[in-house]
Amino acid sequence: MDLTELKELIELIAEKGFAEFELEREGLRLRISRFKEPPVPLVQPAKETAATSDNQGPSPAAVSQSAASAESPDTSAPETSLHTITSPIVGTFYRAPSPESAPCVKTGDRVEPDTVVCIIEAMKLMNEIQAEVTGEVAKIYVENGQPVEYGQPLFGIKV
Amino acid sequence: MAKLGSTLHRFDSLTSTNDFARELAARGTEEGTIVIARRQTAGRGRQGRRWSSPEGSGLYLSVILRPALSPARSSIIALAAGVAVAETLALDYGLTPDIKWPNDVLSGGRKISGILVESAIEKDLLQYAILGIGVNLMQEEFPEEIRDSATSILIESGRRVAPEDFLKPLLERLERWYRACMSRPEEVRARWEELSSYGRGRRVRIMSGDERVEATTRGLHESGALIIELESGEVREIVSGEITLRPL
Repeated sequence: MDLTELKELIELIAEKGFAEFELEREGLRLRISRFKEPPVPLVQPAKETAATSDNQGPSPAAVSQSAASAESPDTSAPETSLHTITSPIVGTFYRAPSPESAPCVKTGDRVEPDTVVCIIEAMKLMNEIQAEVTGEVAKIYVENGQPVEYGQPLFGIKV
Repeated sequence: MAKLGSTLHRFDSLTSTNDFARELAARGTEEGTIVIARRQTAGRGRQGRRWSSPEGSGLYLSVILRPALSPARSSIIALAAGVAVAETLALDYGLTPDIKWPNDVLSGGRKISGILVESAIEKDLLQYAILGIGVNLMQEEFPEEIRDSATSILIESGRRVAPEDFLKPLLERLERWYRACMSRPEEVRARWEELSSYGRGRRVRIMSGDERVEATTRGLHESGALIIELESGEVREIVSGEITLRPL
């Protein structure tokens, strides 16, 4: 581990709410200890800020309902003019990491190639699926919680 | 492949070891790197469910993996992790664990370990997989809502096992079964069937999406999917969803 790596690691862990941290690897042992302070309020990531402003429902239960059922899936045949994101595996389609969170993406959202658009679960392995293209979510073909097949269209992206 | 645990990040407290391991993996951290915490403030399981993670009572571990497997073949890792935990409990601590498909490890019918694997897929390739394992070690009791469904090594055997004592044999077994996922996946499936009462001839009720079916288990498919036979004689493969025991 060189100094650059070490500096990057320290930057990465700086915002975690720990008091003791140790790194162990061959030939190296690093220990960082600091006073317990209340964690510094962090700037919310853009995605979470959006989620919060979207969901000003009266209770968390109401929020999760709206997250899951706000949009009904489009069951029409995939349009050929759109880039189709298909399922790389057989599994269960989830639009959000948990029932309480906002969907990864909604119709009209801009996506970048590394934007996570959904999660497909197979055998409790949660696979995050990335958009792979830059564009706008035009169609969502599958409903949250439904089983999907290999190669099944999930999203249509206007590129 | 680097040995599992050759680099170890140890925290007194983290939100979730999987979350931190993902940050490391996304930055290119090498395979085998592990993250452990004395407690998790937001430990979680499947679909955001909470994993109770009180200080020092359990092992909270995440392992960064970069398997040479296609996404469709990588699910076997989830089974292999269950095999490694169950073997450690059986062979090193004298328990008689069971594995509920795919990988909940039970003792006396109660959950003693939970496993959550999270992967990133890009262009049909697995970038990395984060294997998260929680093992209940020294809890004497659990929060009200899981009191009837959770147990620990202390409750089951009266032994006090420290997280890092459990870590060592677990990593050795994980390494063995993780390597087998790539070289001899059939051995992973065979060992899973030996350790699990759910493998063959078990009456189960399956919930997947909105569907509920009752069936008998008929072993594991090559992918690790659970093969079930419905009362009509129809045979299906279950790849995800909830599995519950049919009341007799």
